[in-house]
Amino acid sequence: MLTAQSFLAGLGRLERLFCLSALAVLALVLFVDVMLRTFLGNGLAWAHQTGVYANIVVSMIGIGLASAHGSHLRPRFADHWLPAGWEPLMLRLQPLVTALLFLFFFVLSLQLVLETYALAELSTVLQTPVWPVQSLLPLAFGLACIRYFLFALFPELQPANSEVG
Amino acid sequence: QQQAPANEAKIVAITVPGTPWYDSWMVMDQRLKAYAEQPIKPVFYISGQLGSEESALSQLRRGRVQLGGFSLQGASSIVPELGLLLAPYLFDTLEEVDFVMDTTISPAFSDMFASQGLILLGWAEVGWTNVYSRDPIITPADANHKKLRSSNAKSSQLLVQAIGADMVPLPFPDIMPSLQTGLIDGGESGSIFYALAGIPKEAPHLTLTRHAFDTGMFLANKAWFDALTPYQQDALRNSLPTLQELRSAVRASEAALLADPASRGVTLHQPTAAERQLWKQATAKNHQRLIDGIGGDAEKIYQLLQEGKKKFSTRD
Amino acid sequence: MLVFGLLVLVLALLLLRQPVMVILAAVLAYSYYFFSDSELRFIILDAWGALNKEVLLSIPLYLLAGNLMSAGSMAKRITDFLRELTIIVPGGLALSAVLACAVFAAMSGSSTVTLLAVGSVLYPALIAAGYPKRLSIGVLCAAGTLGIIIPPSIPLILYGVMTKASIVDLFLAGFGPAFVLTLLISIYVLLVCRHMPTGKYSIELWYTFKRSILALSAPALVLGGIYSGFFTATEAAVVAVFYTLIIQLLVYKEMKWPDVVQTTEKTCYLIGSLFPVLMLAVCLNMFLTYQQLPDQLVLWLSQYIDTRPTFLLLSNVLLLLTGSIIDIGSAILILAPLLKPIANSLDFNTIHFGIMMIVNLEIGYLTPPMGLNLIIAMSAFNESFLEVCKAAVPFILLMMLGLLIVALVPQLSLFLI
Ligand code: NA
Ligand code: NA
Repeated sequence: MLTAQSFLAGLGRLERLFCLSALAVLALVLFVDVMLRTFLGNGLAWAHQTGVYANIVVSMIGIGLASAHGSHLRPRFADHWLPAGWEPLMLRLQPLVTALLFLFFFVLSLQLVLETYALAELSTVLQTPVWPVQSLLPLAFGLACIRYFLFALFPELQPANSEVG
Repeated sequence: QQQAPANEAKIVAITVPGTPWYDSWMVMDQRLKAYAEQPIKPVFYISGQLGSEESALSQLRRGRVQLGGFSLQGASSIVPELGLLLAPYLFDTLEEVDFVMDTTISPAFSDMFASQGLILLGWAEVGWTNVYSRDPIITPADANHKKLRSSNAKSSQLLVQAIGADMVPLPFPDIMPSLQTGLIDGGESGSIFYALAGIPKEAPHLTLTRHAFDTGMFLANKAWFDALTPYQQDALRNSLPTLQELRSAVRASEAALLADPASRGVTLHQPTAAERQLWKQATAKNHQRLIDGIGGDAEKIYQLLQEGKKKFSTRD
Repeated sequence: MLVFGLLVLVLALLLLRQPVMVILAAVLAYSYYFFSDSELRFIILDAWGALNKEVLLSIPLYLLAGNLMSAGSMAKRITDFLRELTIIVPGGLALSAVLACAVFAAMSGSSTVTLLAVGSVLYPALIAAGYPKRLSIGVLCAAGTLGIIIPPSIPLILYGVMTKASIVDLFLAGFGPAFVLTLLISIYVLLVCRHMPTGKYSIELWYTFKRSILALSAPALVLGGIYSGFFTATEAAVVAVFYTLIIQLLVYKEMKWPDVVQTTEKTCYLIGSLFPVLMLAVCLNMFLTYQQLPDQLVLWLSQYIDTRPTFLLLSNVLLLLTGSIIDIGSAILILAPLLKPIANSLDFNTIHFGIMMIVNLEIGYLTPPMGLNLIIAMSAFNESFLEVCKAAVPFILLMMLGLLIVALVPQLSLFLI
């Protein structure tokens, strides 16, 4: 469990680093574009698409951050429909089901990225291959799958429920 | 999992009712219905409801949809060399356009599309691109430090820069609000689209620079098309409007617009030969810039274009 | 049978305490598999298409700007001033939220952006000032929708292009109905808040004004910058972020770099929980479009349409239904070309019909399950979906009243043209 704990901690630090940098890139690139256009006349033609890609990094890697932080939105009105005796089981079953769904989406998105790679799709604006950015989808789903599996194995690693619903 | 009917063809495009391009799909629909036992049953997603061209093209190549209409700019995300066709003043007259398109361009690009899993079923004329603006821009000098909107096409950005204007790349829906607030002073566009998008109210000056000739194309998913019976393939090929039909529809539609500009609040400017020469000079270096920017087989295709032009000038 | 299976699936996932994201994803997978000939892997293609779009860019930036303003004192300074300014009116702060939305809407073409830009600053202030939670959420969600009826408006542009109607006339036609909607929401707010405590103007007003000049310059900079053509409403978000940073880090000196990092991190949690839901909502939208559900609804309804009243009734029912399940852009691309000829054949003016359509689809921002403003509010204000839906109910009714007025009084839309 200690290994799992340190793995999740390390993963969290990496995700945090990526998200913060991507959000900073998003803000900076648009700001520089506006400033250049205002003061020098010409902006950066690639600014917005780069911003879109940075936003995809924040959104996808942010799934992991939100999981670690327990901030995914969750409907809670059905929480008392099951007998109270099931609580210990639910503690493991809940993350297990989430993990399985992420596993399913991981497989689907991996298929898609492989196909994108085979088709050699390019971004219209940047003329760069699409697959590296698209790989964020299987990466995010895969990491979420691992994280929730660990939550199911070691329920004490789950974040305190701060989520609403 | 449900199965689509074997003769169904899902069709994707970004068109507007009442334009020649939308009508061309309706013509195809009628012609297909005239066949015995309708060989192909079209399902239309032609108002852009399945997303941007980049996304629509992606769905076509993956076989989610089977057929589509695309612009040069959209299709250049998989065949970047298509961007060359938008080089400024590549063609001088409509006759030259027709000749070069028919004799030289089609075969070269057919092969390139085939290698991307697509079949080039035909070209669809879009027409000349012109410059519109709030205050008249008759020569490139008038554009100096005007803020002009560019699209995502490399050629569009190069044009704006070459004439000394400030380039403001914007998505389409931002054009009107940006003209209103003064974020942009003008831009470049085909004339039918210019009128359609309501731009004349904010930017009434249309200069017929005719700096680029825009062309669309009909593409089909190759795996799907190859699996059709010869009867179906022929029916499809014969039902799509021909380039000649589209040419006359688009050119008639544009002529009607230009014949009575005042009724649409447009002030038309027809550059003189000398003024046209100024535009040509200002943008002359863009051919090489485009070739360099596109890379790949751009140089080869450009040579082919020049040969086509030469053949046109020496034809009998 | 298949629909029953879907219900069982949703129920099971609710019992298993799954997040909204997981439930939506499962519903999508089920629908793609059983109700469509589209392959399962295309869910991810649609998800990618949903994310790879420029229109979403301003959402994370307005979230960041709002969080930064609230983490420092800018938000508090602005709202302190607004409270003093409206102290003589019961419900004054809520009223200023409505007006702030209307003013921002006049610069922005989008409803979600309007909700976020105003709401991220004013929602905490409304709660702190003792306004009921439901009223605060409802007011911001509803007034946020004004973004698309007060010009400029992306949906009005789309409608104009699809129907060849003059976009300029459409913009002019939006003012009357926008005024009526703003008035209705304002009156409702004042009625609900009529027992809230009031006060008299005092020297406090001057003090709070002095204290908030730099903070008030943020909205002024954003609005002025858009209005004088320096940047678009999307880009304005980033200007707001940098202005806030400069003021709070260098002028007020109340924030340190670690605070900025912490606030940015908090914003990342928010984006990480909001965007997957948004992305899947867009996928569902794609699914319904691909299945041509709205098209079939029109086809089915049009056989009952033969007079002006039946058209008004049925087209509005259709639009309300469509608006609650798909997003406004798709609804216009699909429905405008189908409905406009019917409207014209019954002598409805194209411009008037367009405005009616927009007001109607505007209500779709507030109607579950796919009301975009509800989803955004749920995550930006950290409230349950049920709570947000309940908050929206009176405002949905109010806006339906507005819709009725817009539909029955064409002159309201057409008097400026
Ligand atoms: Na607006
Ligand atoms: Na909706």
